[in-house]
Amino acid sequence: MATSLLAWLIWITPLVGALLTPLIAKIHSRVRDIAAVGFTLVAAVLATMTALTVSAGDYTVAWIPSLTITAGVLVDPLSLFMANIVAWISLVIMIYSVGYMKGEFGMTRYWFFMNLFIGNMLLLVLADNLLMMFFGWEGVGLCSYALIGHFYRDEAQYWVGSPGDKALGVSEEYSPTKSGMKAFIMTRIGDVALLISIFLIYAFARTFNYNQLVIELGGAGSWAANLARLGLLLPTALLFFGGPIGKSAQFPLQEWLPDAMTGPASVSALIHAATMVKAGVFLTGRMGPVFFIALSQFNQVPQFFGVIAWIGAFTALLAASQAAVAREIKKVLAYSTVSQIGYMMLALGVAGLSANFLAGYTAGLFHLLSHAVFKASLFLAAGWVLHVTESRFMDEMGGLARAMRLTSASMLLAGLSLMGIPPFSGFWTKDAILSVSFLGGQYILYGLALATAFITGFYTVRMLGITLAGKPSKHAEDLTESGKHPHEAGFMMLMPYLLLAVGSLGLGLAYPFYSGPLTTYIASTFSSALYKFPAATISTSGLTDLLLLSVSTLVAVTGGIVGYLLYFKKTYEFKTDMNPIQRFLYKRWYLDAIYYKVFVSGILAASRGLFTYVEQGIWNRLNNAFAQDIMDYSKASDQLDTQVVDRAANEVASYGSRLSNFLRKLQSGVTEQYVIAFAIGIILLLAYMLFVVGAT
Amino acid sequence: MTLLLIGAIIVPLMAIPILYTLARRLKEKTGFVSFALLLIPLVTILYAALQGTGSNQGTYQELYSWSPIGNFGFRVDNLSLPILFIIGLLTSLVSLFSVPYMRQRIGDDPGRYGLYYSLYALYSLGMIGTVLATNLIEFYLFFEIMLVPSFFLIAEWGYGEKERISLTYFIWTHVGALVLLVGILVTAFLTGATDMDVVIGNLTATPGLISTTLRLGIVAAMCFGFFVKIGQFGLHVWLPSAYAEAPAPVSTILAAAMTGIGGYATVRIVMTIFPQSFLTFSAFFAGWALITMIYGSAMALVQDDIKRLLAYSSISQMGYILFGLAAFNSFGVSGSMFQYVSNGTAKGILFIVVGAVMLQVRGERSLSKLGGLASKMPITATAAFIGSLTLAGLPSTNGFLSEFFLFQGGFVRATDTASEYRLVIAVLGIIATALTAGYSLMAMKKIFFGAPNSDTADVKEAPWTITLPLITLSIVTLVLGIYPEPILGRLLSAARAIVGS
Repeated sequence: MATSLLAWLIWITPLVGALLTPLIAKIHSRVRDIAAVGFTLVAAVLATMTALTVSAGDYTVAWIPSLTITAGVLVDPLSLFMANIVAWISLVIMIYSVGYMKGEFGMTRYWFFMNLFIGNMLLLVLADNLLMMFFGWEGVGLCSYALIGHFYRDEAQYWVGSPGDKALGVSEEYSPTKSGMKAFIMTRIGDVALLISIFLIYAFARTFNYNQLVIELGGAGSWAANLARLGLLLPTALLFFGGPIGKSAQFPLQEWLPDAMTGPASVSALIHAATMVKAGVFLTGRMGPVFFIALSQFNQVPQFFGVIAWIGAFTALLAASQAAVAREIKKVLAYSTVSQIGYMMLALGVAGLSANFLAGYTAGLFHLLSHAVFKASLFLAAGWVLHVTESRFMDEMGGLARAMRLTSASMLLAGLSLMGIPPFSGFWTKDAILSVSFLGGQYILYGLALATAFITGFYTVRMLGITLAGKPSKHAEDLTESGKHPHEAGFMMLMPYLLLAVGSLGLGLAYPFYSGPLTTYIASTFSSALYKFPAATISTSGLTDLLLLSVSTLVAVTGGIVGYLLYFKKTYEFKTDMNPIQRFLYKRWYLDAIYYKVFVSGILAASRGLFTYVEQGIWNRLNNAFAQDIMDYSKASDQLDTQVVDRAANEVASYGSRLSNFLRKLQSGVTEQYVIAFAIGIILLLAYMLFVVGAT
Repeated sequence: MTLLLIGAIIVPLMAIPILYTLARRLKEKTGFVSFALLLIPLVTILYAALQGTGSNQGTYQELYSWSPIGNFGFRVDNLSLPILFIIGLLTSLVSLFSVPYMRQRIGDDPGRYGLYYSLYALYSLGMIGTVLATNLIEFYLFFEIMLVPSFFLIAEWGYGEKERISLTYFIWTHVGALVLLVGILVTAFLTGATDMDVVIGNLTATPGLISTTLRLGIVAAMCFGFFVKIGQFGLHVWLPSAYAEAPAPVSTILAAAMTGIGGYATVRIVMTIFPQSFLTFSAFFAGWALITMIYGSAMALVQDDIKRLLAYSSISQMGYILFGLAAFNSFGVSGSMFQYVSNGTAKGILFIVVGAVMLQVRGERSLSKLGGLASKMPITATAAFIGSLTLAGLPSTNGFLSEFFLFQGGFVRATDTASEYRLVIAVLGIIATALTAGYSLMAMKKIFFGAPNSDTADVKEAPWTITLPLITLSIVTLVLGIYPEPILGRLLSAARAIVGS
């Protein structure tokens, strides 16, 4: 236990910290803020110390002994890699929060849920079994609900969507509490699928433990064989993936994330960079290999991994296309996240389809790392921009570069990484994904990914152009006239996003040096002989590599140039009369509206129908008629209880008048006498048994 | 022989005259005495459960001769202890909640307080007795004792058309109980015994005492009685109005403690005495439970009255209980009884919250007229949040683990029997849980979030007699949600004894 305690404390510290926050808040608000950041700092340090000192292993304690379910922390390269990203990125966001959220409403609640969020994320990363993981999984969902809806009084300034936004008659404006609910319920749909899968696995495996699940794949009577016998193995795997689809906002459950922008920018950064949406990628990374082994025994690998890859590629394109027309800066970033997660899913999917599993697998995880860094930076910078311009709309910004050089530089650096321009980290990791798709022979997927790269270049430059370049908008000028000049953030807020942006460049420059060792490290997660992955060395010439690199860079740059020509040169104005393509994209392919109509309006209408026609129309009518008869019969007055009892007594009386008289005497009074007589009766009965008959 | 368990009956019984007399002086403060007195059964029962040793771990019984009927016995064991824990906890806590609530409902008439608390104590007695009973006739007796005071409590202090509503409640449950009695009497007549142990012994020795067909009839009759109590779809008509129009403390006990006893009794009596016959019905029950779950949730979604919303939610939650039982394996049955506990804490919290809101917002219980209460009533809002999450089955609340294991039971039944029907039912059931999240979060949003309106602008936090029960129940919810073993371990061993592993 001794050293493994470090690993346990990684996730326990922020959770305990969250619980302590309301108490610490009683001392002083400043102490509370510092303590909250402190808990995350401890978690981050512990995560690194664990990686350096604790040997890989599954450290368990008893949890539900009657079912031999243990709780445990699984220390292996995958979980440590992830835990370190989560904890350190979270720390940066927490530091930023101190300044950014200063003086906001509900800060104790804010810190509580932030630490709870981080703790739950670390729990889900480090858990050694599915049940415990699910605690963290749902905890993350809960915290996102609470933080997206942080401004629960729903003031207009915290909404997302432009006034009057509608698709198919459904309003596309979202208040904080509505977005919170939407996020919770939509991800919950994915979780239902995940749960079904867990139930099916447990029904045969009788364990939730990851290692045990892999070990038990060996025999003929393994859980996988049993599921396959019922034709349920592939469905189980696919349903499992439902969870990640919801959490990581992949098609068809991607619609919650854009509206989740009602939370503070720091929350968005946390959700997009460190927690929540990365959970799905991580879980796919955790169980993907297990399903690979299980499915490979029954030749069903391509079906499962094909679905992952296609969903990823399609989502990447879908969301990128929406980012290209978005009006709100945070929405651009949100669509962009959905799209980038799509890349990661594509990589994890392609892993199972190609001749080298680990190549795709690590590409996906590497992209997770680089995305965490540049997206956190972009969100935090955008948070400052929102604050300075007092608007969420890009067309109300403009020309910020002059007054905010460092912020603009930071956004530019992170933006270049998002576009995938060499030598930023986003370039290497995105290119790795494109390469494995191409070399794995998945040319259509490669094409989709390439198209996404083009649009990514376009929307990134568009966002930078509208907000930073050109002349200040009318709104911005009005602000300046009223004495509110755009200015840089304070040191404690500027440094987090600036450092992350520079870090993204640094990670890119160093990529050739660390990518090899890190790949080996992550691959060592699967050193067990049970993992039989295809590991053919994909033979490529340097020329092919170079060609692929050039193509992806060229495509991204071309997208960027189109964006530059359209948005750096001209002043952007938001117009409600869009051309059909723009409108289609702006209205989110109408998916959100259709979902709303079917799953919200539809279910409510069906429920209302049931209520009117079945509950009231049939059951209540029958019941009322029945009750009315009895009431009429007993000529109910306000003394109804006596009346009914009297009636009953009369009924009995017709069978024997003596009994009737006795009952009448007993029950002629009000309820009180009745009750007391009743009680005395029981007392006498019990006394008789106790003292006369005696205990046996 | 120590009088531990009979003490759990005698104390509330003796409490009736005590409370009645004290109320003349103490008025609403009688609730504090009631709280203290009703804690005693909880303590004696917990103490009694510690008495059993070795193979009787957790089991303890007292038998009193009741010739010629049999024994008038009380038993606490792994199955009943969790149920009794919730009943004891809720009846005492709700006594506190009654203090401010009934003050507002009754006003200044001392006699009325006496009546209220006497009926309340009798009601508690009925529930404890029902769960402790070892004899079928004794069980029936307590089952009816449970009904009578609750009927009066609704009729006297209910809202709206309280006469009609309480009468409907009485007649439905009473008819259910009579049908149950038929089942009990036939069983007793044919096996020549009324003590459950003897009945089981006789049936094991001579299975021919009751033919398979007749067993099905008996099970149908008994289940009818119990399912009326838990308000399964079609037998639920009495329930929404009764819960909605009863005074909030009584609604709390009805929904959180009493209803689920129907589920407990199904395990204790039907599944223990006639396991095979129950199994015959179980596929049908699973379907029925699914309809109840979905129907209850759908009705809850469209209610504007919070209490009615919670009432329909109770119907839905009781569907989960039956679903677990219908799985007929240790996961399902233990999960289902654990669900009684979760429902007890969740509904306990939520009905008290509604009471608190009604108390602080001038009797308002319409969702569309509330809003923005989170900053006005932070403790109540937090408790409501925890209660809603328990209802929605979120991890770290006991609602998650209970639903998890009862659904696990459903899936194990489906895969064990390779039954597509069972699989579909289980899948649909778990999809329906998304509806629960929907209505509980929607209610949270409408009551607590948004900007305060003119009705809610000057609202204050509820008094400690309300927040203390809320905090206690929230803690129980979270502790059991993280470390379920004290409850789940017992229920599993009880369930394994009844339905095998």
